[in-house]
Amino acid sequence: MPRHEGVRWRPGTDSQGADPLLRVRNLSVTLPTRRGDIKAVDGVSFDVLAGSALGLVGESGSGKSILLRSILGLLPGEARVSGEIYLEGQELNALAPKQRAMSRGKAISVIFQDPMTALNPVRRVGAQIAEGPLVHYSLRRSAARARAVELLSEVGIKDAAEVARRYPHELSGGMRQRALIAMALACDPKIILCDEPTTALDVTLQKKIIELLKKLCLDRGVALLFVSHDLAVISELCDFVNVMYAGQFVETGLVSQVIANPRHMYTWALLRSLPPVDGPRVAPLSIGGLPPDRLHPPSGCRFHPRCPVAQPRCTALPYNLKDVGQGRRSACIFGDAALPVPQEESGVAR
Amino acid sequence: MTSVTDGELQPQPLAAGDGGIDAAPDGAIRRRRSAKLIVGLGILCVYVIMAVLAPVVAPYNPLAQQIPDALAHPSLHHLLGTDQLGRDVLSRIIYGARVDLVAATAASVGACMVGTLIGLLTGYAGGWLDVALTRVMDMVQTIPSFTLLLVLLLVLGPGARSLVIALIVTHWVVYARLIRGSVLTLRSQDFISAAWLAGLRVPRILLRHLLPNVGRQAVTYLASDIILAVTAIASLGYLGIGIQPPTAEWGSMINDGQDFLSSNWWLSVAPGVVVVLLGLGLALVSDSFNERKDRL
Repeated sequence: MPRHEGVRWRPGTDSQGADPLLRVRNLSVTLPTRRGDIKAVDGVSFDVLAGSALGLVGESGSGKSILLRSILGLLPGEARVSGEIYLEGQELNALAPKQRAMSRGKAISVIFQDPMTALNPVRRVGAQIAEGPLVHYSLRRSAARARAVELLSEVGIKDAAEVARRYPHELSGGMRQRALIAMALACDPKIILCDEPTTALDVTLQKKIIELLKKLCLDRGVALLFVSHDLAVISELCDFVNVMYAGQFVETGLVSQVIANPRHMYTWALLRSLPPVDGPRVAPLSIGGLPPDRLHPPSGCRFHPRCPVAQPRCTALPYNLKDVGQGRRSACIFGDAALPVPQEESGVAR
Repeated sequence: MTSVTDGELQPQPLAAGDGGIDAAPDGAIRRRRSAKLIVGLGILCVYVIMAVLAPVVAPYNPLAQQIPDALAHPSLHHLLGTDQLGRDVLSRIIYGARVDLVAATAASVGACMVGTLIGLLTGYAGGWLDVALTRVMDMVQTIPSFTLLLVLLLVLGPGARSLVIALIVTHWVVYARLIRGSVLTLRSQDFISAAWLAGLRVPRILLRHLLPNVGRQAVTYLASDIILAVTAIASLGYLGIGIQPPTAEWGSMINDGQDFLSSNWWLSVAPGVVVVLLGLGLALVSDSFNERKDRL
């Protein structure tokens, strides 16, 4: 794992040298549509080390959610998946359905985007949280209930015993999201997959939930695979980030380094589209053009039609995610050194 | 009646503000709804009491024949007269509740359970199981249900038990379709995915996660389905292929009285009214269930 070399991990985890917790190799997902096949995820490979947090960032339609769902086995029946997914060294697709069911919920759990639809509307919150421990640890009902209450108070809900008896519609959005986190933690998973869990919340709440998630995962050494379109959220929560564009990774590396010094023009444009919090006041720039046509993706670098510094060869060079030092990788021809950022940044503005 | 008209003509004094204007019709609607429910439940109570306490309430044995007294007109001895074999009509109607009400309830509840289970299974499992069972549902629904009932009764033979089985066979399809449709939309929701991802087994997902979401629909339909079952049982009795004489059953009583319509019309009309009133009571109750559901 050259790209992880020299990086100090969080205290309490012994991930160095060990097998990665989650290893994905050459994963592709093809979705057939009436107009043709869409390669939603196009040959991505990555590792999530035990206790670390990896963010996947990309715009709508970049394939990040499909990628997450393909790891969970939640894709629609017509989707075709190729590649390998290893969880703790075991290939998931090679497991018998029964074993795979046991790995779900125990080793892997998930937090969905919309706290409204992720809880069963007609069952009490406590019972829903207790169900995982009930099934996986064969606890008695009362013990499982007690565990649910304990989890609820751990995610910062006051009167946990009372809240456990409520139905989801009697909870506020923030409480529902906390309940979902409690549910995800209920069986002590090794990794939690998050599909934009804070998108449905307002910004203050978002910050609180992110902090909670970060604290709980650090305390318990739980790894995170966090999908979001929001670089700010990922930079706060994650150790690594993989930037995704049109089904491919265009840049990977430590979050702090990627943000301070992007090595792909798409990452740069993405960062430039956020208003700076400190420093001189500069107007944010939108990324020009339209998201790529996923049915007929652009040739060469898929970002070249929208890239302010695109070269003629960008339209032809094959995709190549190459090492650019410091454990970082980039698919940009300028990735080896600092990017030739346009002086007059009008190139990316409309 | 008069009190209702009075209420409409002289609206109660309204509190100042918009809330008062809105509150009055709302209150009226709610009162009408609960009146529906109370009247319906009252009617049903009478029938249930008739069925449960038949030996206490009925003045005579429903099967006792007193040929000399045959075709007596209503009197203090026989409130609804006697039939052609001298049996007390009122007692036969009261005992009939035991047969008709119990058979209708058993058939509807049975169809509801069978249909709900099959609907849950096909909706959630999908694949060949769904295709196969949906085709079976199509087949059952293509055949006119009454024809299917007749054929099943011919095969199974007459009697209460075969009547209930035949009704279940013809009625489960509606429940199954209803539940299957709801499950199809629920299946793709995150909380069902989450239950599956938590490693729960299929029976648990079906019964603990999906059933509470769809059970209400099945029960609401059940309330109106019982009416169909009651009329089906009475119709089959009328045709002489349902529950067999000498058991007191409303449909066959209507048929028996038919020959004496000109002289003793009440022989047919009384059990007919009893069937209609039961239908009305059930309809009122199921109606107010439906309205209540809308409000939630």
